[in-house]
Parts: sequence; structure tokens; C-alpha cells
Amino acid sequence: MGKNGTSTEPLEVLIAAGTVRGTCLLNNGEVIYETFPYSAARLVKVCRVVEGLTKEFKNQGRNVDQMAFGYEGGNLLAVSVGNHRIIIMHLMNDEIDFLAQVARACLEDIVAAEKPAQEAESERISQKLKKDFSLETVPVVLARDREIDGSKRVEETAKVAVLSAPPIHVAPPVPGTEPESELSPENISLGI
Amino acid sequence: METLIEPESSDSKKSEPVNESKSSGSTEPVKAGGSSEDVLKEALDNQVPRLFGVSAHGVRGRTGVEEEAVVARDLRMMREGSEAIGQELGMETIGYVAIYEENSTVAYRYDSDSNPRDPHLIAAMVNCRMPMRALLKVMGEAR
Repeated sequence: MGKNGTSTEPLEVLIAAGTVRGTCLLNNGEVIYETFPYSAARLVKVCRVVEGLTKEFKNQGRNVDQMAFGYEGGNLLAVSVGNHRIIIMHLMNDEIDFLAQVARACLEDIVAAEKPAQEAESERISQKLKKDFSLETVPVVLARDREIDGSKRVEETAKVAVLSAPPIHVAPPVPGTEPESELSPENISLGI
Repeated sequence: METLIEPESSDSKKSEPVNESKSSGSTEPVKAGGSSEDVLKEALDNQVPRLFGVSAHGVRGRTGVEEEAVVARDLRMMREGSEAIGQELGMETIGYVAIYEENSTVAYRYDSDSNPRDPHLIAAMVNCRMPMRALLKVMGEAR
């Protein structure tokens, strides 16, 4: 399970695939799960470069959803779906297409798994608002100054929607627990 | 590694026929004759990679100066990104970089046979999501 409760189960297939040496899952640029053989600080820097590059292309109106970098010692592949991104470090560059497909499938699974949870949370909030607040239409009187027959004041009625909150119940004080008031009988000097 | 990827000025292009094979951009697999517009149209119609030679002297392709400018701009961004990542991961010798967007792929690959003092790159643009393996092969054959 990732940092924010995201299921990382689909990633297990990817971690075991081919010559994968490290996998990192990001949500909105934040690392939520990683198995990279580098320090967290280094990985964050790498992720920032990938995010920055994507943003730079986005500023040109281009939606780059996959990047591959090949080096003498290994390869780095970044695949994104929605707000999620997977960055993979692997050894053989022949595996790029296969790993990109697996990464995309993983991300689609993660996004699909998050969707019902997001919908359920949205429904819960909606139900709570409906329970706690009620929206009703009440008539109100609008007073307007109108220049009719001299300076006659005309009143009009209209209906407005009012969001009403439930009444606030204040629990009665428990005897012996109320704070001592400076005006308590004990403190009042009668000057006798 | 110093590689200038600025496109050459359009003035220097005018004197050369765009389809002549002696230029560094002769790696273009499209065999169409005629103008750069014809070559570009055929490449786009058939979804074949448009190849560009990149050296310290600039970007050279056969599909027009505008495309060369786009390649130069993309390569600059991709190179900066790949160098920054390589530095962090301790892998500084870059072999290739590729980006995929909706319906296009842009990639470049270092020509390992070129002079390290004046490294040569092959860049490719294609209007489809071309498998990386195939794209690297095309760029490798074009060296």
C-alpha cells in the first residue's frame, strides 16, 4: 500500500518483470511508493526532472505521457496516466515497449481502483450535507422605494432559498466542573 | 559532451537542394523526390520517421527548416533533462532519449561511431506512437 492509501498491488507484476531494478509510483508529483536502489533524495531529484520536463512540454500545449532515457549503465522509463506516473529503472533497452505496456496497465488498474473510493467519498459528503443542512424556499418582503404617485413606498414579496444549519445544542454544565467566576459569591466582598 | 543543436539559418539552406544525399540529413528513409513539402507529406501519409542529422553545425533534415527548428528545440529540452537525470543516477553517457505524446514520437540517439569531440546524433520524428525498438533500429541503421 502506498503512502496515501493507493493500492500498489498492480506494481508487483512490474517489479518482477524483466531486468527491472527500481520502480517508483507518483501521484501528483509526490512519491507514494518506490523500490529504487538510490537514496530518497536522489530519487526525488530525478522525479522533479521528469515532472519539470513534462511541464515544459505541457507549456507548449503538448501532452507527453511517456519518456525513455537510455544510458550506458541502464534505462529509465516514465509512463503517466492521469495524475499518476510510474518511473522504472531497467537494464535492457529491448524491454522498453513491453515495460511501457505493463506500466500503463498498472496505472490504469490503480486509477480504476481509486475511482470507486473517490465516488464513495463524494457520495458520503453529499449525504452528510443533505442530513445536516436543509435547503428551503421562504417568502421575504422586499421594500423598494419607487417614484409612483410622488414618493410612495411599495413593498414586494419574493422567494429566496435559505440553507439552514441544524440547531446547536449546548450541553448543560456538569455540577462541579464550571470554571470559577470572579463574581462567584465567595469572591464578592460585602465590605462588612 | 558539447553538441550544438541549433538549426542552421534558412539562408544557408537555400543554396542546397533539400534532397541531396551528401548532407548529414541524408538518413531520411523517405525516397520521395521533389520539395521538402513533398517529402514531409509522404512521410506523414505513410507514418514513417523523418530523420535528422544533428552535429555541432546544426540540425539537418529533408522536411524543411520549420521541422529542423522543432527538432532543435525538442532536443535541447530532452538533452538537458537526460543529462540532469544521468547525473543523479551516476550514468552520464547518454545513448538515446524518446518522448511519446498523443500521436507522435520524437527521439534522438547518439552515434557511437562519431568523433567524441564532435559527436553526431540522429533525431527522429514520427506522427504515430512507434515502438521504441523499431525506432531505435531505424535510427541505428541511419548512422
